[in-house]
Amino acid sequence: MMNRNFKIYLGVGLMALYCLFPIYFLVLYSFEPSEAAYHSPPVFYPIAFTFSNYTGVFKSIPLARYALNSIIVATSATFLTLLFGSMAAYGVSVLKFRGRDLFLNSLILLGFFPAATMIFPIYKMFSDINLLNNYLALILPYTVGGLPLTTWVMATYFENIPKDLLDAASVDGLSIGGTYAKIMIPLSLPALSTVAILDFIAFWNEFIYALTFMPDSNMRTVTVGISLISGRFTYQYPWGQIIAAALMVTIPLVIMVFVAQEKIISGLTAGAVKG
Amino acid sequence: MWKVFRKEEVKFAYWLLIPTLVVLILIIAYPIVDTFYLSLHRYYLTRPHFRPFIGFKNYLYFLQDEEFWASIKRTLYFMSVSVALELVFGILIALLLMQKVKGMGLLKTLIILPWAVPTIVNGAIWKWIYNADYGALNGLLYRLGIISKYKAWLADPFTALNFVIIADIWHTTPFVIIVMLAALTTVPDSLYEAAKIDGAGAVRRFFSVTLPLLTPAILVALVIRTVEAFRVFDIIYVITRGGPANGTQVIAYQAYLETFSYLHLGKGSALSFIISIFIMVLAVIYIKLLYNKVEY
Repeated sequence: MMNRNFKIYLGVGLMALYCLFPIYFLVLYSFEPSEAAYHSPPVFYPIAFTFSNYTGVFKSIPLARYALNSIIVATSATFLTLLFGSMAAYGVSVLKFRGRDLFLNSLILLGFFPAATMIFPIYKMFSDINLLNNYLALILPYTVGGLPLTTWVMATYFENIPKDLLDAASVDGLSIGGTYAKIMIPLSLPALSTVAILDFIAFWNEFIYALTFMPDSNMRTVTVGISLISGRFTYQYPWGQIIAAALMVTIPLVIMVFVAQEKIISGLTAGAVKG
Repeated sequence: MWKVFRKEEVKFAYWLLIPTLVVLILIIAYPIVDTFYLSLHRYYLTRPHFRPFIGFKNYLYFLQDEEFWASIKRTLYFMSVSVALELVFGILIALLLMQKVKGMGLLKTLIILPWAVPTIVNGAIWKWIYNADYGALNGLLYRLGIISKYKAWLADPFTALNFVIIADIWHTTPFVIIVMLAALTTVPDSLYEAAKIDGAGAVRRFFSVTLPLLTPAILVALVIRTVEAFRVFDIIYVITRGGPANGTQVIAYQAYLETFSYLHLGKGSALSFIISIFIMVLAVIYIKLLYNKVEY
């Protein structure tokens, strides 16, 4: 038994090493002066220790403002995705109308249209209706991007909710809307929180739309803001500041994953994966 | 399904679909139609008012273009290698994480961590790790005596593509792990016990108990990951910008270049459609597979 445990620990330990060693460098170099990143041979352990990257980055870019932009965009888009997605999923699972599978399948197919190639047409449209540099310019495309998977997971989840519960609700005189608000939503909280986290992380990390649809420097999101930090000369590239900023914007997501990983897994279990 | 609802209430359910339909039509359907319209024209941003209709010439141009087929080949290579390795690693790691030993919760979180790292940050880390002069990979391999002098890992086109794949695997395997863990938690322990009593070894148990039960989850992960890998863009943009010598220029990156660097909007749009057609074909095949297999 001891032997078996040892093998498991060894296997998982190696994997954890592969997963963690890039993150180790991130953390290490965020506390080193920027020159440390250009040491040859590279430094594998701390030498100098400084907070200057963490303080300096706030002078280089308005990181707090970017974080606010990201929070507004990612939170609103997640909320809209969940609201619209769960409504559509409920409609689809109640209706059993002709073309129901067509609706779900076309939704999934639309979600497969490559984002990188949608940039120009959406940009042109937003520029025509003066929506560039508006939070909606990201919230709307993100919502659309999140809807296919969200609707799909929610629809599968709803169909697994026992029918008796809904019959009982109907006998109790609950309307179809009341059933949605008072029964379906509370029952599907695990699945909802799963897709909420999946969507939020995707929206928070999105790059190319944020780069293109928010040309105003005050409206940048954190991912774009970090990618645009630059020094005056090549070898003054403020690597330390970039990773300090990168770590700061990743930490909220890491905490989310840490707190919610069991939930993510159990939510998916009842949803799409089970089919 | 639920006949208990009155007819007018079912009508109400149609209204539930409306918000989704409206945003979809606004943000996807309209641009798709617009893209299609542009793809039928010769349209250079440098001459926005000269926009003759040329039918499907932009499409024919790409079908005869060597660069296009080279991009497709690279994309298919990127897709098959990264998805295959992600699935194998994802399944193996998930199986390891299901073992009931102390400290597994913490390990689970650590292993899922890379998934939360934004793609552009992920790209920046790996770009630095691979750096020819001061990168960690050179430093590590040199110190271990595996290489005798520092190498420029991203200088050779094919090597560069493989190294981008390694960075992508690091970033996305955790997603596969999560999907697999989700499926594995639904497998009742009693199934394994029964197989054990029947005298099945670990390998046998994997192939005759675990793998069949995982098939739906594998298909789900396969669909999502293949489609994402086929239209991979961010990580290429950050690490190599398609270089060296176009060695990492995948198809979505070529479409981006056509539109934003060469300002050939007509060609860029045609390329978007060609990519979408490839993806649709993949998707239809997968959905067929999913609907056949998932219903158990």
